[in-house]
Amino acid sequence: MSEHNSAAILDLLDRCLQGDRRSQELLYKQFYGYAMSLCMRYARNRDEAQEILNDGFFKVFTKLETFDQKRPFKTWLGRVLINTALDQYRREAKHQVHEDIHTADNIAVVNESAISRLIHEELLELVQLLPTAYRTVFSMAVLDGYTHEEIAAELDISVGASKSNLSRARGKLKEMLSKKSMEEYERVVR
Amino acid sequence: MKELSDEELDELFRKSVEEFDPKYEASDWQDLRRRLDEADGITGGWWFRKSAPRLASLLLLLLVGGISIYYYYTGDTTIASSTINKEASPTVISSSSQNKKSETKAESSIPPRRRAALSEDEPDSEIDNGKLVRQDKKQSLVSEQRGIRKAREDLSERIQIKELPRNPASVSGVRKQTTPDRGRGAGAILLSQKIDNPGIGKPMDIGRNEVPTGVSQQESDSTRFQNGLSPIDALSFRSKFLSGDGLPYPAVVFDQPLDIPAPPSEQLKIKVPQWSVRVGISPDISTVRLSQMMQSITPGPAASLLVEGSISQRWSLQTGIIRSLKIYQAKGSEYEWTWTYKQPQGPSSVNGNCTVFELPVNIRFDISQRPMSRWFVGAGVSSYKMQKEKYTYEYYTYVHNPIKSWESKTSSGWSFFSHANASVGYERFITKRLSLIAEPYVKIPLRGVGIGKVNLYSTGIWFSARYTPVFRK
Repeated sequence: MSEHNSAAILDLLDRCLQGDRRSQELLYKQFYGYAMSLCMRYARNRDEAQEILNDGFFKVFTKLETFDQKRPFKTWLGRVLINTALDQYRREAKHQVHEDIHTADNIAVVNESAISRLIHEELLELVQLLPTAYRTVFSMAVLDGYTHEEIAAELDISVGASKSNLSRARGKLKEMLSKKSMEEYERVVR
Repeated sequence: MKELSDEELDELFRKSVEEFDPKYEASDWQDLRRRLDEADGITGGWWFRKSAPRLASLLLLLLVGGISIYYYYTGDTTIASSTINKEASPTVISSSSQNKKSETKAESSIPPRRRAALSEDEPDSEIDNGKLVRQDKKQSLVSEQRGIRKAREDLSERIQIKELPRNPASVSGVRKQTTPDRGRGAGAILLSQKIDNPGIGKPMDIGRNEVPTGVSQQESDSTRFQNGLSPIDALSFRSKFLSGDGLPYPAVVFDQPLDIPAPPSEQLKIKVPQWSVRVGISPDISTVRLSQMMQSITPGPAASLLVEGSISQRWSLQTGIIRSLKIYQAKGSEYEWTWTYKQPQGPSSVNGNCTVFELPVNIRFDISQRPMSRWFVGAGVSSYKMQKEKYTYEYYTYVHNPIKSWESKTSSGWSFFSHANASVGYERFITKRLSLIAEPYVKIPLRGVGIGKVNLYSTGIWFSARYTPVFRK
């Protein structure tokens, strides 16, 4: 038995390999939270995240025989999902027009107690509000631990562009956090 | 009031995504399921690939049975002229065939699901391969395949896989374990902090915010706010202050089975291999009288190569080839003297030493199925082909110029359905796909075999290894 995958997971994978829908559903449910969370940070919204999620799982179920059971399934699933998200990014990049967002430019500092009132979902929404290029680099570098060299290779951009995108993503996020904090503060004071 | 540094910002978002656990949406799965179904429909070979192992094993069984029946009815005159127990076999076939017909009729009036369940439960769903071959082979095969497939699908639904605790949305499964000096985005820090989930309805202790005993939660939190705290801590406090907001975290437990049926009984959870290969060895103790069984005898060796195909959760079919050396002693009266040369007096006793090919067709029923072991019983019929026969004749009274021995130069041909088999066995799994079997057996003669038409009883115990191969679609 693999040290990374429990016997139950391996059993489930075996059944999925045989095309058993019930097992596929159970595997899907088992990793749904993890997978959807991952997709959400590469997508603009939930619908897009769901599309990436199902594209990724479709690949998983149809290419399951390529999975090495000695390795952790969760890691493999994550890789498949990220690659699926990057495929989508590349497709979009061909037709991409310059996109930007309106950010608050009048608040440069962050009110910590106001941040405390932001829930996880709201923070994730801020990531989703980033332009696609910024969001992708931010997610890869900060949330999924890719190096700038790896990001550059994956996205077919220069290392400098990757660093620049990351820096700008952070800047945008700080601006959005400030704005959010102010709104929250005003709501509480009122 | 201060601006967040890059490190703080990264950590804030990292922690946020780690703790974000989206709620399961059944409609998402339905979308994916539709796609998978469509894909299966488009790729026409999918069903064939999926069913190929079962189809192959069933074809093999039908082939073996068909050949046996064919030879039985059109075989050589030696066999045809043999009258010993001859009526027994056709009767069995006929009744089996009738059973099959009536069962088919009955099945047609039963909904598919129920039919599948019936085929799983009823031993009568066993078929006589040879007879089917004589009928419309294709039609029978297709309908049988359909029945078995439905039974399997139904069974696979009933065999519920354990529902595992839901996997948290932590990113740790994907996060690459890089070091900061590898050029990763500045400030990227790997979180090693473990977050315990206290369970349903309890607030999650995020680890950093332990409240000292004797201090109220609110008091403690307020104090910490006044003293200044990091955004990460602040984020954690958020979940405590706003406990009534219906946040999906922290204690998200996947406890709603949705449309998944209740877990079935323990027995139904046992996975039954679709088909398997089995090799074994056994001592072969042969005799012409049951009373001699425990007395004599020098056992001969036996080896087997069998293929097993399951037809339901507990029933499986088995066939293959067995080669054995049968060493036995018979009285002269138990040995049919078939020589053209007639002695005035036959031998007093005959010592036989025969190498035999055997073609069994057995059915196995699992009495007890446990994850690591099984008890089963088996029954069936075997056809014998005497490969080499060597007999030594003994005379207790004087006979002039007697035949002292006889050894065959050619095979005496097949003796179809010459023996009935019965066995009981224990199977122990070593790995998921490999198991060891101990199976005492007895073979009871239905007709005489060999040149002397001897009714030969055999017993022994099979020590077998059974392997279940994997077929990937």
